Amino acid sequence: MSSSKSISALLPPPRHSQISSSNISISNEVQKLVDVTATSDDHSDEDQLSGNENKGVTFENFLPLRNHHPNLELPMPTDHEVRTSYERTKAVLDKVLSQKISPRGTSIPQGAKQKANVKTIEYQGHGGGKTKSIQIVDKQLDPLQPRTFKLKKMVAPPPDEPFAPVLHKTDDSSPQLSKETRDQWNIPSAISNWKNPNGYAISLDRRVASDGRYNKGLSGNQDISEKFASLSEALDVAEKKAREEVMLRADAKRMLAEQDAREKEEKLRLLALRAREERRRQVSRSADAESNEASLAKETAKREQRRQLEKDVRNSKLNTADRLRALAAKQNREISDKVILGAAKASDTSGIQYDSRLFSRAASENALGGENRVYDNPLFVQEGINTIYRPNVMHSASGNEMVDSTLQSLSGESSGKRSREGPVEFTGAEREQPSVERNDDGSAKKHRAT
Amino acid sequence: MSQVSIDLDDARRAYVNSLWEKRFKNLTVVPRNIEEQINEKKTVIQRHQELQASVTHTGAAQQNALVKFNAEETNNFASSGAVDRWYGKQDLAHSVVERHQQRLALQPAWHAPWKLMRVISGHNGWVRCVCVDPVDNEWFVTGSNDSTIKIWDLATGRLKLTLMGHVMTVRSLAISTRNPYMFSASEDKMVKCWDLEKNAAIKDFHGHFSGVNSVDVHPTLDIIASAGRDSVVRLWDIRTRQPVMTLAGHKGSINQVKCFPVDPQIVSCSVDATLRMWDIRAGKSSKILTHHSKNVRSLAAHPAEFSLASASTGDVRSWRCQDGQLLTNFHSEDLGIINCLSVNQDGVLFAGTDDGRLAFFDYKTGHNYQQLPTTTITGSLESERGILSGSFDQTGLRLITGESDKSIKIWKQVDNSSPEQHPGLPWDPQIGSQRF
Repeated sequence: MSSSKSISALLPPPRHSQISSSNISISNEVQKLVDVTATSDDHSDEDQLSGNENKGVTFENFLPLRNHHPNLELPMPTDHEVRTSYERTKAVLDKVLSQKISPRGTSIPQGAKQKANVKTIEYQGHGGGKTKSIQIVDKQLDPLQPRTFKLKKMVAPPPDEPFAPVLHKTDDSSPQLSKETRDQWNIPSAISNWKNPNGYAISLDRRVASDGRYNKGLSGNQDISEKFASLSEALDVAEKKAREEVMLRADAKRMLAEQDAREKEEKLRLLALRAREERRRQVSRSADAESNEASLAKETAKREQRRQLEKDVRNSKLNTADRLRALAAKQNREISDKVILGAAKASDTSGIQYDSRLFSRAASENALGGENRVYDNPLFVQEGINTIYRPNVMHSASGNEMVDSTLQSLSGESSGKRSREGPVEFTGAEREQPSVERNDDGSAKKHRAT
Repeated sequence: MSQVSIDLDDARRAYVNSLWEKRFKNLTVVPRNIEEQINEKKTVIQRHQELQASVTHTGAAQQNALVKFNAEETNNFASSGAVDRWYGKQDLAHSVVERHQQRLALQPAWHAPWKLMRVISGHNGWVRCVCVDPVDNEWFVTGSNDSTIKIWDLATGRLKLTLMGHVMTVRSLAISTRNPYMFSASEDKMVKCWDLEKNAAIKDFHGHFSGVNSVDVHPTLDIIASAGRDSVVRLWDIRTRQPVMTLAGHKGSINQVKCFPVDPQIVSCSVDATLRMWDIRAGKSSKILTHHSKNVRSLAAHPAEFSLASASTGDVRSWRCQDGQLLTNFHSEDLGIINCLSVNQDGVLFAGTDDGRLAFFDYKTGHNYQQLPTTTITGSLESERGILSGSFDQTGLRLITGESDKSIKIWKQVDNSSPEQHPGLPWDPQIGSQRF
């Protein structure tokens, strides 16, 4: 009656409204929770730990227990509890530890393990009648061999997690960010236009966004600084000024040059004037004597001038090649006539001497390699080398010596001396052959002298 | 027989209805679309009646504006007597309002206020962890961002010893009560064991994939538990240095781990806003506490009763160790990020916040009786106000805090204080503080 009137009666029934024996136990949960401490001695650990599991969320989960029971006592675990817990845990941990400490493969004897793994399968052949059997034996493995497969990832946590409903509000009351603020905080992902090792397809707008040239508009205050404009202006002004200066300097130089030329002209004119006056003075001295001569010279000059004019007229009628030739002839460079006459010849190049090292490869190598060689050419010519140390009959001082040497050669005792072809190499005295020494006393001395 | 069964059914239905009425009706806000549906189903007369009823109720000027409670509704149940008989009176008295009144009547225990006693400077970096000698209470040890561990005399505050060996921040310290060993966890992935007789590192526990945030010694077994950024708790055998067990399950880096002598022997709190109680015999978590909605940064065990407290941002709660039942919601809504927790025997819970405030609570009721800002050291920046670690000494009369201005501060209770002189902050439980 009353429940039909209230709003709550019209709401869907509460989740755990279906009454069962378990629900009654839940209803008395608080009392039980309080009692847990008193009766904990009888409970096994598993019961205690799983006591609250899978019962679903009840209101008591939210309620602080001390709100109802302000004087709730929570005694520290008794010594007995601590000891039992210690013993049980220690047993488990010792077991784990012993497994960890003992090296792999030593705990189980290999033979026994293998025998246990032998498996035999018997089956009928195709034709029937014949029974075949297969024995499956584990392949023996080297216990010291490193693992074939490498575990890269961490093992996932065990799936048997306890029932853990979320017992807090998930909708946070903190103010939500507006879209604008979120956009302001948005950092675009880094995209390279050069590297894409995984080969992902990257949309064009993202590429454009990542390009520094295009996102000037996005970041707003990235206008070109006015200093760039002022810089270019200043550069323009400076250039103009520099050009003006250059022009001024060139003008000044030209004016100076002109002035120099004028002065020089003036000087020349003055010189000419002086010379003329001088001549005039001389002429005035011997005017009468040489009046004929002067008229004659004037006449020849006139004739010369007329010939020159005629020549110019002729030249103006010639074609280009002839004119060039005429020009060359005027500067004494026209030799075509001489060639025809055989007077001009090509200059003789046979007399020019080249360094032979420029042409032969071996020579250049020698030049490179023989750095420690002081001289380019041997002092003595090759053919003379063999005869340096030869006694020359013609130049020998006395005939006796020659006779001696011929005698020696005939006896054949010291043929080595005869065949020697180079500088003498001195060796230690040979004391084993005193006879030889005695005989060759003079010759040995002679060697030392040479 | 049949008569009895009908009675029982009625009683059950009445019981469930009354539970629903009392617990959920006034607490939950009906979604608008459902409310519209309900209104559509109602007849005109019903609507009229409700309107009239609401007018009379507002005229009655209820004292509890937050929650409406209809006392006469319960009287409408004919079988309320039967309910009482079957389920006991206590169970029905769970309405929000009654609970609130009960709570208002409660008087939290008085504790003397705390004041600064001494400032010790000596570290060159943030003081990340503090641990007091559990045997003689003669010295305490701090670990710092400058990768050193320093041991100080508790009475005089003098430096006794500096231990160097870590290469990165020392994040956690634990001292064994049964051996002269101290364990330190560092961000360089290493847990070190120091021999306090030789004053040298004698063992390394190597195996964490990332920085280690916390280490704790098991009170009875010869193992230590360490946990860190790789979001697993590792148990190490002290003697052989072997990793005995790896407890995986957290989905974020683990901030603190705590060992207890009986089940749950390991409790850990994590960035994924959960606490886990671990069953180390089975190697899995036995209970996951999901009440916190943010990063749970700290965990503290009560020294005299079998319970623990945990703190996430603006949310301190205490739990019964045995089964993870929620015990108290502390009045900590305005505290912000809480870095450390510590409890003493007198039932004082200390919470140090990231913005440099110390908050003291009565452990049983959750009453915040004192809040004070930490004293700044001259020359330190405003941003360096932050309490990173804190611990009561073994007597519970001194509080040692390690702060981000590189100093260690020791706090004590005001002498000769009385409830009249120092009444503390007023006891004002809000219904809203029964948070979800």
